[in-house]
Amino acid sequence: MSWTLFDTLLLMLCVALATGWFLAMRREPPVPAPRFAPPVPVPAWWRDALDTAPLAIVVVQAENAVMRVVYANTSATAIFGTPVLPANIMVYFRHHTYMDLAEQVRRQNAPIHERLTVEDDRTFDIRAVPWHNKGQHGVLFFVEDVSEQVRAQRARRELAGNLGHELRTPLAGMKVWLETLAGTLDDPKTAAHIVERLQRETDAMTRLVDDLLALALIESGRLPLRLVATSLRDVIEEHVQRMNALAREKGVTIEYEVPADCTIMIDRDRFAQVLTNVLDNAIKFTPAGGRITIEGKCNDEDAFLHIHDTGPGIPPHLLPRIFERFFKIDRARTRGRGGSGIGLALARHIVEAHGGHIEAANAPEGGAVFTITLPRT
Amino acid sequence: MDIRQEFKHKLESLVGDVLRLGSMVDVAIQKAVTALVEDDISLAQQVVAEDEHLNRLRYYIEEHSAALIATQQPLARDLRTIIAAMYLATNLERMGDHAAGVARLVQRLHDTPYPRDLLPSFEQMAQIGREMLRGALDAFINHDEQAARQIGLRDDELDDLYNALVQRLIREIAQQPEYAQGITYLLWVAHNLERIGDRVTNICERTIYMVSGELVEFVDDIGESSFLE
Ligand SMILES: Nc1ncnc2c1ncn2[C@@H]1O[C@H](COP(=O)(O)OP(=O)(O)OP(=O)(O)O)[C@@H](O)[C@H]1O
Ligand SMILES: [Mg+2]
Repeated sequence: MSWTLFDTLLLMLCVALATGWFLAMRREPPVPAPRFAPPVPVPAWWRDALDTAPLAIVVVQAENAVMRVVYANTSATAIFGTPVLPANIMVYFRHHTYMDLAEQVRRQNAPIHERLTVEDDRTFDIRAVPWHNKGQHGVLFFVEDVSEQVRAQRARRELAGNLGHELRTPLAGMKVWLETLAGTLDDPKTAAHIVERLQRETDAMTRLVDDLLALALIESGRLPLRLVATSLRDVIEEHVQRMNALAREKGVTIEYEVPADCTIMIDRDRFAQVLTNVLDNAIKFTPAGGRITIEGKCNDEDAFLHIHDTGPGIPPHLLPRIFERFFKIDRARTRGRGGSGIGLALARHIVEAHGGHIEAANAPEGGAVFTITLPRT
Repeated sequence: MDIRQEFKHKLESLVGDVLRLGSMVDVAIQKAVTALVEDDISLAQQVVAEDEHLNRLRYYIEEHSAALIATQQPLARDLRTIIAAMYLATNLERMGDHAAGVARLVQRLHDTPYPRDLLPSFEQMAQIGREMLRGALDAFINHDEQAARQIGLRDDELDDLYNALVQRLIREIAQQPEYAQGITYLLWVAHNLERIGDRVTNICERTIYMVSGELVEFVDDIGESSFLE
């Protein structure tokens, strides 16, 4: 939550409270306000405004030892349910932390900021602020569900562990091959075969380390792009040629159709990493006899690339996640070389560094489609 | 402020304090079991230290109740609520003691080997106990006699789990005598968790009485005296 949002809401609320009271005073002066009704007859416009706030807003009114929730917006309802208001503060929140905070805020007459973690790994960011108005007073709560952010932080912490694991797996493989090699030096044919395996493992690991380095640089914004005007068709042609051997080995054909007159501004080496990773996936996940189609389009502003395969596609609910670092759908499915789940993370970062974006979808006729959009200027 | 209003406020704040104590106990149980499962000594220490807050709030509730009765001459129904609040506070505070008891055992278990695959059963017991506790407090504030009866019956579930666990622990001691000490501590942990269910049952009985004036007993209280409190 940004401070500006917080400040604005606070200001809105104060203005609204004041307006409300003013209206209340003017309209019905002879009837004393009911003791624990909402402090103000709230104008619809600000109720609507507060209800659209992505932040839970709860107004607690204090009278002697009793504190009651007199207002809660829609976001609050999503977190705390819908007790009938006004409700005692404990009945409303059902967690003593809120009452502790409210008491502390009243005692110190100063705001407090705290984090609370409850069941099911849910974390709330709580700001409690004192309010006073015409002899009435209480505490305002702004509560935000920050579970997502907290989980993301934890993921970052786990990154180091992941890295170790990803590097360890190929290393363990190499170690086994080396040990076998030591025992087969008198058998040149087997030895040659093992050396070939070792070469492949080393290539895979080199690619992994390169990708990781590029990812680290690009994430910290330290990877400068050298943009060069390049023909889209040339880039694709070059890549298809480079990947064709791999594809043929798997019995997969690659076809492409790209207009000749489309130039784009790219860093060739980096963009090569994007295409390599997307095509590598397409080949990896497409069964023998399948086909990969690359289709290029251009208009004045953007260039589009659709890469469509005839593989199993991607489960829809996982579509938003496949660009996450280290995310792979199913370890068993990622056979063959690589398979550490950073290919698409890197691809997305590079495409975005170019000012473009990359999306994944499933084609109606089956298979995955990756769409890369790049601005042409 | 008129007298009746003032009394209502005081009664509401009394009930609020009972809920607050309940929430503190809930968190204490959760922390104690987390400390057990994660072998987290400092969390266990925290639970033991915080038990003092629970005790203090309990006495505060008792005094507050006594003052209300003495100075306000409450009507019959309000009187029942006040007495129920006192009774709940006592039981909640004792549940807190059980949580602290678990936490103390976690400290001992830290240097004692035991088979860790036994732990999920304890998590499950604590989970049921906490669900019962929350349900019982809901029934209390909503004056929901029906719900109170339902929760009272859930104690059987907890007892079954407890009995199965005790048998399993005893079997483990026979099979792996080298773990005897650790498993004995676990027996005490289980006992503490089982007692929590009994306390919740007490709360439910009291709620039923508060609402209907009817006296019920869910459990024949033989476990009370037996062992290791
Ligand atoms: N064309 C595709 N068809 C089906 N699933 C795909 C396709 N492309 C990617 N995926 C899924 O998305 C996951 C993430 O892809 P990504 O390229 O980031 O990792 P990877 O291929 O497993 O490993 P790496 O590229 O680092 O060697 C893959 O593991 C796979 O489950
Ligand atoms: Mg990949």
